[in-house]
Amino acid sequence: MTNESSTIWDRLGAWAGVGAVVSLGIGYAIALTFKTNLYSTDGDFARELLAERMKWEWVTFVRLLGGTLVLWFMGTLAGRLRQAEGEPARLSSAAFGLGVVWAGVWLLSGLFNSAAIRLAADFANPSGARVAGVLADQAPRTLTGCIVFALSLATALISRRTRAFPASFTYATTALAPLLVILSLIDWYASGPNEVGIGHAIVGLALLWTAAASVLLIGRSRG
Amino acid sequence: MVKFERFGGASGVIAVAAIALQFLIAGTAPPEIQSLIHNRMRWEWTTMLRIVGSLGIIWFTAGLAARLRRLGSRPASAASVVLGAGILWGTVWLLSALFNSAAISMSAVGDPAGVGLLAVLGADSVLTLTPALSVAFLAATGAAVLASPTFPRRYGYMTLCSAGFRLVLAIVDWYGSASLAMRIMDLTLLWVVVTAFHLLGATRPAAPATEA
Repeated sequence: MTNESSTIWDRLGAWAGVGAVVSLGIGYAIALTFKTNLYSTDGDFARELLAERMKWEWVTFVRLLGGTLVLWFMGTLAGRLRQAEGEPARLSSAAFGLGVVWAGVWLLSGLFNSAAIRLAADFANPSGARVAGVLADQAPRTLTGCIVFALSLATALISRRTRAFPASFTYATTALAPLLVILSLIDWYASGPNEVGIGHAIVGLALLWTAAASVLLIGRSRG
Repeated sequence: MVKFERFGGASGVIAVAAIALQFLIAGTAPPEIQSLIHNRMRWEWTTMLRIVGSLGIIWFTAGLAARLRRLGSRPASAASVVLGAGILWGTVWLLSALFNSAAISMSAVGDPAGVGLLAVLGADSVLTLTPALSVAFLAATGAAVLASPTFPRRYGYMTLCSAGFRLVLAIVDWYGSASLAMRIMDLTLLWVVVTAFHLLGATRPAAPATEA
């Protein structure tokens, strides 16, 4: 039972990465259909939000679910990295810490989303609702780039040193780290629709990388 | 090492006492601006108790994760998730204290919309995020306990069942009209106390797990 239950946990943890990507991807797909405009007047924003309240509730749900699954997946990924790196496992510890922070960002985004609904529906506070809505939208777009840059860098360094992952994944991860830095710098400098588009590209790349790492771990757990 | 784990157990009991006390003082609803102005010390105490509770949870989590970490060569991913979930839960309490403190400051400036936002974030942060984090915390603890003989097995099964029960409550709370977030909080605090007493009862180091 001892080793069996651990294996089941690790297998589920490997699948949690794909689950997180699906969940967070659904959240983005729903958010793209929002008629609510974050940059309209406070009153209009609150009215539009309440008119499509269930969509906002679903985004809260999938971000909380996605954040929890990211946390679970990071436990499994960091465990594999620690095994490959060996003690004292400094890089894999850093990777795990970064993964926990990234999970926290998604959970915070879910919290702000929920607060936007509460402020508009229960407290008649449209300006507060709009600030909470902006925070929910911005948190993952602003913070994912720098966090996943450091996470992919730590993974790439361990992978290059130990060949813990296939060469194609190692090269892709090595290329992803500087790409995220460049995109983050462009995102920091850009404004308006460009900023939003680049922010979405950063989150999309981070989710794609998570899905690839998850699929690799699923393959390993089967083998 | 055992001393550290027992200290973690004591921290868990202190955390639960601080959090329960702040609920008695502040309740669960977000404060109104008049209450923040006229009962300022009540809300200052709430901030302090949330900080004490947060630090207690983080220390408790460190003790629990140290106890659960397997000493074999296999990756201790469940114990890592316990550590991550507990630290995030502690951080949520810290954030709640921050929002509460900022609401008190803003009430002196006289900005009702800003105070309203901060008050809702202060009260709702713990109630919105505890269900998801407690499910991860308990499920990982249950899996780690069953993978490593650190606690009684019945405790491991009870913890896994509690995680499933909280998941059902969390979905009903999100979708239905019933507000169950506080019941999830009560159950989670109760579980922390039970686990803390297990840690306090630790008299020897956790045995290394047998190799695969």
